Amino acid sequence: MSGILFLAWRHAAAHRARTSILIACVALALWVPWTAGALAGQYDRTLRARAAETPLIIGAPGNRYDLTLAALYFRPSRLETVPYQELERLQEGGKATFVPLHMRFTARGNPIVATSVEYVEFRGLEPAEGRHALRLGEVALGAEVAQTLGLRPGDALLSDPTELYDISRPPALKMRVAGVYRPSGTPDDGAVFCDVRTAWVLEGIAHGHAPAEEIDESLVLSRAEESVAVSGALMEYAEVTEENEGTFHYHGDTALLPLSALLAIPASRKDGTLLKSAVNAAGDLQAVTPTSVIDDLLGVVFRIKAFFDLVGGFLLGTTALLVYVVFLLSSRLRAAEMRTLDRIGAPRRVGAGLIGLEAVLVLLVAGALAGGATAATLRWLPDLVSTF
Amino acid sequence: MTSDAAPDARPAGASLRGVSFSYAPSAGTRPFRLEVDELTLHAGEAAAVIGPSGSGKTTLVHLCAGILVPASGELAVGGVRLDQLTDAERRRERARQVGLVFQEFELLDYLSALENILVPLRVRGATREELRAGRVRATELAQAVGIADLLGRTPAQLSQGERQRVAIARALVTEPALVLCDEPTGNLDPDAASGAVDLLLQEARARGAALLMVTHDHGLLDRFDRVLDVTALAGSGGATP
Repeated sequence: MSGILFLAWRHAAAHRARTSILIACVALALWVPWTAGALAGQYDRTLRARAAETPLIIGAPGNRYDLTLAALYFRPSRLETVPYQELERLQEGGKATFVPLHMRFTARGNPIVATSVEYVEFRGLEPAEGRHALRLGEVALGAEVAQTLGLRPGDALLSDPTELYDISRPPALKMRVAGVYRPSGTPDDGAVFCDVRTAWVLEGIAHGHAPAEEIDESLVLSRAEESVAVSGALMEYAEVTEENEGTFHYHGDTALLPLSALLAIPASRKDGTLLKSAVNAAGDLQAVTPTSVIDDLLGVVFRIKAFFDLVGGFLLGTTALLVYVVFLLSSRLRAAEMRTLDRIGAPRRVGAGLIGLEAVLVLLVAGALAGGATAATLRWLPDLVSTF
Repeated sequence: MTSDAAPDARPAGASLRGVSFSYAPSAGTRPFRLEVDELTLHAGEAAAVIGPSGSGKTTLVHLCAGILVPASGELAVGGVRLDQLTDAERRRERARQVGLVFQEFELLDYLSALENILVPLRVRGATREELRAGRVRATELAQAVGIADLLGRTPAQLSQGERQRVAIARALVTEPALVLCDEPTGNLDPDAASGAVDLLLQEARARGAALLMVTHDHGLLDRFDRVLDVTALAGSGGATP
C-alpha cells in the first residue's frame, strides 16, 4: 500500500497545476457550506446566549430589533430616548431592578455604554485592574478595548466628537480610565463603560465651568438675583477633575434626561410577565423579551443559511462531477501505465487504487485547506452581530 | 525447436511442462492455441524466441511471467509452481522472481530514473529495509549500465537508449530468477540494439538470471545460448494460429 501511495503522491506532485486546480475547486466547494454553517452556528449561539441572560428590555416604541440589538450588543442605532423619569416611575412599581443604558457615543470607535453599577453586577463583570467607573468622567474598559488601545487605569481616553463643525455642541470629553474588566467573551469586551451622568455631559446637557462669581466680567451678559447670563464664548471644561467635578450641573429638567433603554431584571417570572404587560399596555414605552426577538431574527438568518446550503450543495455536486470527470479521463490517459504496473506484478486493481488514493490525497489537502479557511474566516471576519 | 545443448547442472530459472493455453474464439478473431511439451531455462542461460507474427511469442512470455495462466500443464519460475498459485500470489511472485523489459520500455513519466528502477519493489510493497537495499542495487545497476549520472532525470529528459538502460536496470533490480524481454530492441537502431542485447545478456548472466527474449532481429541470435522457434515448441508445432 505504501508503494501505491508513493506512486499516487508522485503523480499528484508531478502534475502540480492540475492537482492545485482540483484542490482549489474542492476546497472552495467545501469552504462555502462549512463557513455558512459555522457562521450560522456561531451567530445562533452568540445571539441566543446573550438574549437568554437578559430577561426584559424596555425602550421607546419603535423597531424592536434595533432596541434589542442595541441593548444587548451595543449595535449603533438611532433609538428614540426614554426620559429618566420613566426609570424612576418603573422603580416605584417594585416589580424589578431596572438598569439604565445610554449608548449614543463612542470613544475611538468603541461604544460608550453609560449605565449604573447594577449593570456590571448583572453581567458579572469583574475588574482585572483598577475598579468600576463610579465617578463622573471615569470609564472602565472592556478587555478587548483595553488591549486594542493599549490603555490601563490612570490613562485618558477621548470621546469621539459627534458634531465636528457645530461649535455649539460640546467638544470631546477627556475621560480617565478607572479600570479594565476581565475578558467575558461577550460584547461587553468591546465596550467602554461609564456612569450615565458622564453620558449626559457628552450630550451637552450637563457641563462644568468656572463659578459664576469668578467668571470674567467681559463674558457676563447680565446678572439677576438668581441667575447669571454668560456669553457663549465661556469655555466649558473638557475634562472632569477632582477640582472641577463640583462645578458640573444640569440646566434642564433632570426628569427628562435621556436614556437609550432599560434592562429590567424582575424578581420572578410572574413579575416579569406583569411588568411586560403593563408597559406594553400603557403604550408610551415597549417591553420586549430578547429571546423571542432573537428567535424571530434567527428565523431570517436560517432562511439565508438554507439558501447558502442550497448554493453550497450545487457547488459541491458540480465539483464532485468535475473531479469525477478529471479522474475518469486521467484513468483513461494512464491506461498504459496501469497495464505496465499490472504486468510487473502490482496487485489487482492497482489502477483503481492509484486513482482512488490520489483522489483521497486531493480531498484531504482540500479538506484541510477548507477547514483552515473556515477557521480564518471565523477568526478574521468582523463581528457579524454588531454589523448585522 | 532448434537449440544448443543446455547446461543441465544449473538450477532451473523457468520450466514449462505439458503446458497448453488457448484464447477462446470470439467474433472477428481466430482461435489460437499454444502448447509447450517441455521447456527449461537454467539459471544464467539466455534463449531467444523467434517465430512469425501472431505465432505466440508474446503469449509464451506472458505464460512464463504468470500473466497468463495455462489451461493445463506445469509452469515454474525459480522453483515456484505459478500454475498452482492464486492470482494475488502469482502477482507477488512475478514482482519478486520475474524481470520484464518491454518494447516501449514503459517507464513512468512522472518518476525519476532511480524511482522507475525501484518500481517493482514499490508495487510489491517492499519494506523500508528492502527499499534501502534496492536503492543500493539500483545504484550499482545504474553504474553497470552506464546511467549513474542520470538517475535524477525523468524519462522525458533521457534519450531512447538511456530509457532502454533504465528499463534493463528496472528488470534486474529485484535480482529475478527469470528476465523476460518482449522485443526490447524493436525501437532501437541496429548499433543501439546490438549494444542493448549485449548489456542485457551480460547483466543477466552476471546475476545468474535465466533470460528469454523475443526478437525479430536474426542478426542477434548467435549471442544466445539457445534459439527457440515458438512454432516448434510442441511435438507437431507449438502454436496453432
